[in-house]
Amino acid sequence: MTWGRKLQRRRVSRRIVAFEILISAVFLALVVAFWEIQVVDNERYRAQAEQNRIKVLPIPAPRGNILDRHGRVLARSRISVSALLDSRLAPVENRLRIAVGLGLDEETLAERIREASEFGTSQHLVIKEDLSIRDIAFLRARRSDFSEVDLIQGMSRQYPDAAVAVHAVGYVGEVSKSELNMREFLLHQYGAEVGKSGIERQYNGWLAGADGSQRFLVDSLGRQLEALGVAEPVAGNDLQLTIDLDLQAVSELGLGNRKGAVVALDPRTGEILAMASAPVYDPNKFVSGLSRSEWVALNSDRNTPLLNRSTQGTWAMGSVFKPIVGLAGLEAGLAGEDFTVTCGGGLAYGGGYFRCHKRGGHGRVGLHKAIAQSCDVYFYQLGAKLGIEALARYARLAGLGSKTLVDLPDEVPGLVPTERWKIRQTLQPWHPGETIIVAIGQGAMSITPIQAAHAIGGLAMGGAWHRPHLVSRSQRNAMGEDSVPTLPRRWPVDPEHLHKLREAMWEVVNGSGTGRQARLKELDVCGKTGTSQRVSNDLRLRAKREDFEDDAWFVGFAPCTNPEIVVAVLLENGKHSYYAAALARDIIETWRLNRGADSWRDLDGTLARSAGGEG
Amino acid sequence: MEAPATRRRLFQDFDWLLCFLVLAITAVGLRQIYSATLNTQFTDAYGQHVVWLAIGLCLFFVASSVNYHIGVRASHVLWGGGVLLLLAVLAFAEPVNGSKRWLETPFGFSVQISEYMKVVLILVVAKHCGEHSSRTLGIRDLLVIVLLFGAPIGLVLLQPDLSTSLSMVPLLGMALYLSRIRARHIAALGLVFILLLPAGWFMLKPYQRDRITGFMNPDAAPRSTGYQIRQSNIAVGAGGIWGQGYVQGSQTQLRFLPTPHTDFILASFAEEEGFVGIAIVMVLYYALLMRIVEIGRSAADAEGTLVAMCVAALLLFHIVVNVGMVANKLPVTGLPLPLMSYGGSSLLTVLTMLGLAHSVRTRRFVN
Repeated sequence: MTWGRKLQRRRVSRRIVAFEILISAVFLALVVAFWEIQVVDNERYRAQAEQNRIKVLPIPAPRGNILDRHGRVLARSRISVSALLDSRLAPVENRLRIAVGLGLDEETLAERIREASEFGTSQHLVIKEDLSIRDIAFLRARRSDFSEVDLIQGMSRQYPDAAVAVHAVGYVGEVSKSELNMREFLLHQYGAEVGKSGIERQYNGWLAGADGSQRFLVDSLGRQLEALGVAEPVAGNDLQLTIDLDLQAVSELGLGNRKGAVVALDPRTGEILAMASAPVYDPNKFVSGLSRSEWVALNSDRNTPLLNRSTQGTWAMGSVFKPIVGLAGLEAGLAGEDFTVTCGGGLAYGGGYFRCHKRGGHGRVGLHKAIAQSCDVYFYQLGAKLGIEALARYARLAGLGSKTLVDLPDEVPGLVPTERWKIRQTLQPWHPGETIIVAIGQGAMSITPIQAAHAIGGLAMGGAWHRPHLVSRSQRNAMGEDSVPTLPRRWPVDPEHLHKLREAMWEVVNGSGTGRQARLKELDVCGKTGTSQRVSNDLRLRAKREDFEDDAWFVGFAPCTNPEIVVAVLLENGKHSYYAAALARDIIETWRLNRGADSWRDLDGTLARSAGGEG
Repeated sequence: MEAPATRRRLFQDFDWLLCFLVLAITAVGLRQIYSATLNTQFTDAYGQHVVWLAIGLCLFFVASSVNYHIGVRASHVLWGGGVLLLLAVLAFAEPVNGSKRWLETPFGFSVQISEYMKVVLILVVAKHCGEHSSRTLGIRDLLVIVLLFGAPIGLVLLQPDLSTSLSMVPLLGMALYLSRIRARHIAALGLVFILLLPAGWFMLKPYQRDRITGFMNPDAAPRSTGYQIRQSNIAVGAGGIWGQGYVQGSQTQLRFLPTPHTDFILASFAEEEGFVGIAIVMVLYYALLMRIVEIGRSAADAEGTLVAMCVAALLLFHIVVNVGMVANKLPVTGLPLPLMSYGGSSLLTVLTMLGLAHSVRTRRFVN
């Protein structure tokens, strides 16, 4: 062997050794990599393998029915079919096909899938509820393509076709991202259906129940190989409201396509017998999910159908405030027999001139006549004597300017103005003219219809205001909720004063007063009318715009002594209180006919049964 | 030129260790193919693989009994024939999945010419680098080598079959590694290679780019490449130390793991046999490679060394690419795991090359 050849061999053998070192290093690295995955990260991957092979399908709990006081259905649950998506498995290219096949908006679907993974519920996202036969056929036929989609038995909320008590009952819909962070929806997951408004929301926990689940062994195509176990759902509880479907139906039919609100309650307990707001919307549309454009349209509707006018809308109280002012005057010793006013159609006061609604004037007016004929000048004078602080104090005692604490979400308090409020709000001093405007229920003061019924009802009870509620005390006790206080808020009124007011309000309906449309033959009805200006009289007459017309009120109770029902009717732009009084009369008459009935079997009405029955 | 006077003692010099390692690894692979295809449409893969294995072992013995010098001497003719056949593939083959790889024979089976070409390239390397092993390679020698590799690599790329053409590159690398080359030539070759890399990215098909991006970020595409990597990781990770047990791996048996009997057979094995099983298989492969390198070291001449080292380089490349993918260290490529994955062409090629190495072993003594 030559010298060069030896060198050659030595060079090559060095390189062979280097190659051996490379092989050793590579194998060492590979074994270490396997060690990391198999031993260090074993737990994590075992859990993922578990997630792969075990599919958990939810079994939705039926939501409890909502019933009226006689057991008639206002909302119920219906078995339906829902499409469930395991978006961890969903190939993007399938998404469009599924969206088109089920008539969903693809972008919305993609957004929901993204959000579901954000909230950790990608495994079972309900992409469509209440599938039609067509939808089911579409998915069944493509079972092998769409292994990520499962059909499960769902529960759909259903409201009667002619939905009643829409604003009180509320509606259900998919829980929103912001709601998920609220305490009241703590137990719900992304995509869950929850009460969004009204009773559905207030008592969501009681109605909802708890979903169950079923576990299956599945293969990679999502085929269920074996059932592993079931956690049964817990059905939601039924909820009985104090609403009487007949009174409710009469209220709603009476409102018709007018804008307005009705609240009827039992002043002895605070039980709400009817709560209506118009215009209405169809709560069934929320169940399967509104499209974005439908939602925008509903929200931007000038007639605000989503607003519960009875608890969330505020209006000037108008002349309905006058009995409270009158009582304030009596209690303060300022409105006795000796206090009379001459009404000449208006009053010059504090540098301005304030008209009475009756241009010719009422002549000589005492408290009785002032209430019966709704004389403004009398109350200007009385208000001036009382002053704004006394007016505000008595208004607040009657429950105005603060929430009634009815068991509905998002109630608004309204406003009772005071000098301090004005300074704080506008940095302007209180003007004496404002006091006498408030005394006739105008000006800055605003109230909700439920406050009107609550205030007048408590007054008629002799100064005992029971908290209004839609779910009765006994039902709330059964739920373990904080019960409605049994004892009312009291302000002992001198029976003599009460008697005077009652006589005047009797006169309004049954005598020479402004509320004669509310008169009933079989029953004594007391009440007070009101029209409240939205804009100045001049502007109203010049502009001739429908939405500048006066709002009309009627608040009445019956029987006049020991009242059992109080009804507040508000008609937005109703111009005159005639119609409001007539509607209150119909409601009181219906109440009279239903009086004493314990169950719907005792009732005569066929109207309500068809509205609340199987629909 | 006379063939060097090597002594052939097939039975006395039979490499029992090499044979044991080959049989052990193929047995583990066969067993895993059975488990991975149980209750699937691929159940006949097991029987099919037994047939391939039998043919492959025949090729192994044929290749070991033939003097490798005959192959080395005939390598130019074999190379020319191979290039012609590759041209024929491009001209006549029926595209399968958009790629022309298989040439029909009149005997009713088809062959993958590119696999045959790998074996030929080993012989070509041995011839060219062996002839000049005692001197420094000039620029002309280098150009010839680049041409000898460039033609088949280019033709396979045209099929197109990226991974097979890539698997020829380690042979070129080993040839240059064991030769004497001037430093500036190495620098020039390195520069060309670096310049070709970004161009190569743009030549990749979208699905191939997806594989690379899917490797970087497996959650981005849960059902495509990212899905494969994820499921493979889950299978491997769920195996733990002792494994889920034979035919017990949920990822494999419930079909979450894609291609559990071909490209991802090691993931399936890792799930069912755990880290202990993997360690054993890694030791087997490591021993096999070191044995082949030892054959290269003890070879009678430069040709023998080059043949064995090229076989080792090619095997190492395949093993690293496949095992690295399963160990989540490298992106997904369609390369099977030598000796374990189901599939005839890989098995036959690898066994033939091992036969070549064995032939070098049995002729290591110069008389």
